[in-house]
Amino acid sequence: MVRLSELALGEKGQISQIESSAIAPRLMELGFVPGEYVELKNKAPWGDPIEVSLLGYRLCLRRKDAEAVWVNTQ
Amino acid sequence: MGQYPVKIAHIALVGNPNSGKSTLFNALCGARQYIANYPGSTVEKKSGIFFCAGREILLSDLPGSYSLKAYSPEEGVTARTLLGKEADFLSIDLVLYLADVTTLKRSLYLYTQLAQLSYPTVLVLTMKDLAQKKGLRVQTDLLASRLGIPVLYVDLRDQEDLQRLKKEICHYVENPPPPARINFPPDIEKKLKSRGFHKQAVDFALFDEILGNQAAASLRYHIIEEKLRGVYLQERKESQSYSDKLDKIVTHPVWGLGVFALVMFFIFEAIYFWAKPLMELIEFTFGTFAHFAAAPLAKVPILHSLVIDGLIQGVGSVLVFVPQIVFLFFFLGLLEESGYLARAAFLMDKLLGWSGLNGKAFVPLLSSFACAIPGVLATRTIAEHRERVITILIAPLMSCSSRLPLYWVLISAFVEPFYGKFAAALAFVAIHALGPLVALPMAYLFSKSLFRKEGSSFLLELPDYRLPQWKNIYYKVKTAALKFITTAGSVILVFSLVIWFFSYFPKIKKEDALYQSWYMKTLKEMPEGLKESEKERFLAIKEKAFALEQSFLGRMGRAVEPLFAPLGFDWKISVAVLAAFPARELIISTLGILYQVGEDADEETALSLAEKLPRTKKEDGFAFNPAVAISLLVFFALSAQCMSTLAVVKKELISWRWPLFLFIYMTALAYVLAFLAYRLALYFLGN
Repeated sequence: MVRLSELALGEKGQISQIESSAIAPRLMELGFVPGEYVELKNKAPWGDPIEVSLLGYRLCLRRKDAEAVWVNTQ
Repeated sequence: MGQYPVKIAHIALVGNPNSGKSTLFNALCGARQYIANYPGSTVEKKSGIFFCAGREILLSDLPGSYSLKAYSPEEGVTARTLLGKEADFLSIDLVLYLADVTTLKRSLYLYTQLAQLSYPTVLVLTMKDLAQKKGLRVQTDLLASRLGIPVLYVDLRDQEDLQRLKKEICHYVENPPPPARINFPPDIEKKLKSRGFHKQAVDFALFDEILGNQAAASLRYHIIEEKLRGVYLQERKESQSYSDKLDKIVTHPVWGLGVFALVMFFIFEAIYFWAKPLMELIEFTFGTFAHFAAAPLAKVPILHSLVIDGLIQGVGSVLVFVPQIVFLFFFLGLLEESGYLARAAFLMDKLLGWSGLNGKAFVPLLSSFACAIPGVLATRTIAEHRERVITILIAPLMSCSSRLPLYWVLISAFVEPFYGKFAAALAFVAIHALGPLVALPMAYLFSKSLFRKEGSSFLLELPDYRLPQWKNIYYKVKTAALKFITTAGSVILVFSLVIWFFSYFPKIKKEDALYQSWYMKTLKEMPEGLKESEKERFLAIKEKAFALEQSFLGRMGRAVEPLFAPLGFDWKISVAVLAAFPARELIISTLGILYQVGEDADEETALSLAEKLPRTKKEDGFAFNPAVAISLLVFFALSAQCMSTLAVVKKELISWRWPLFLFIYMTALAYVLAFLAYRLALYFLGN
């Protein structure tokens, strides 16, 4: 299990849990719920923010916000 | 009782951002649309009228939202409206729920909340063209029977689809569909009821609190999954979309920055240079107008001055900004519609993030290098109120084009003759770099001190690239330009008249002893051997300077001279600085009058000023030396000398508190840094 922010470029994982954080409720509403698949698509210059895809759309978010999301890569 | 025999039908457009609401809104209402603000908020309220077989229909485009548990002012408005809590909002008869079919699961999250409010609803699935490209097929009949409401499937860019959609909408206005509903499992319903959750007065925060955030979101997505089972077919494996291919370059950490720099350079060029001929045309038109108005008014000097220097100058100084606003909003619309704006924000977020801003602040800040007014208007793309306010507060620190003439005068007077062309170019770059160098630390301070909320975040959907919809851009440009002219314009005009009043009154009469002694003194100063017409011109220039010196403005300049003395300014510079508070460009014409080189803010005045300033000898114990020039440059670069900007900030943030704060902090900052610059320059350059 790794944090979403630690995925390699192009790596895909299944969301296992979301730690509580200020932004976590919002992330859940945007589809970051256990069982969904999420892929790291791209990183901005200087490595932050990151771009992920889930539920057929793409979202960018900052690394520190992405840390709340844990994913299984197997 | 109301005017209408039957209450006007009211339809609300609801959906996520990028779901096509604006496109549908513009297609249905066209020019019959009205943009205002929601009461007590900066959120745009878009409503319009269209007709179904002669029957008038009111259409409201609610701000795009992901959730009714509002996180931004826009979402707050949508939530309050749907919950019936927004004042002055006609009750809603029909909801058109727009959902991007390519991310249907996420798009229906908001629907599961809407369905708790029991509005008669039609679900409109959009982006059919993109779905077909991605190999998606949707069983709309199955979805309609599962949800219990009508489901339409359209490509909003296709005229036939639009016609069909309009017909369907009109049908549902006459024959309202059943209300949208959602059923939760019995145990959940029981739990909600026992904890005081009312179906009649829905509270989404309470809903999530009772169930827990994660359980609540999972529950909604679980219900969506069940409704979508078998509805959504991936017919063939998705090949790499053209958006993905483009993004390989456009959002690449290295190439992306290159593309970004090119795009921004292009826009900057457009605002800065392309708008120029149009601005000059407007100035020329007003100049001609003033010229023709001058002759019949010449007999009444006060009316002449009021109309020429007050009214025409005032109206002209409002309209001259319109080309820049139109250009900026055209390109902003292009960037937004095509999907690039989100990418630009993604690329820039890190660069701006440390100061409490987010990536979206970049475009407004860049635009402010041309003019802070379009820059401030462009902050509307920033949803987070706090980040928008901070961006607005620092935008006027960017060096706008109306500061250029003074830069040019001072640099050609004090840098180029002594240090050469290269140093002059360097000085131009340095004075332009001063703004952002000061602005980002200020943003950091503001985000730490003015707002209590901890930390900022940046969540932004990257929509697929699309060809821009010209209609949408057209309405964006039109709205921005009209809003500027009508609302900011009136304030600017009033202040132009006020400054005219202060520089015109009191008028010294020719019989006055003061005037007499000045006249005698000036006659003695007149060089020998002038022709009659040259004598007249010499006297006219001297008289204009004398009148300004004796006006309220001139007296105020003398009064504040001690205040500006630490910066090295004498009374003349103080008057010019005061005169420039409504609009920066006035500094050139005022200096021109005071240094008696001419009276217009034209190139000739600037040229003669550049020649004259370094040659001022220690008359009255003051000389315009390089240290004074540096001090004035710094002060001018950072102070809030633009009434138009302050008026626009007031309009955008609907409070005088922010423009007042902006004015005070910028003036204080300019004062302190100009003082430091002056002392340093004296130390290194000497007198």
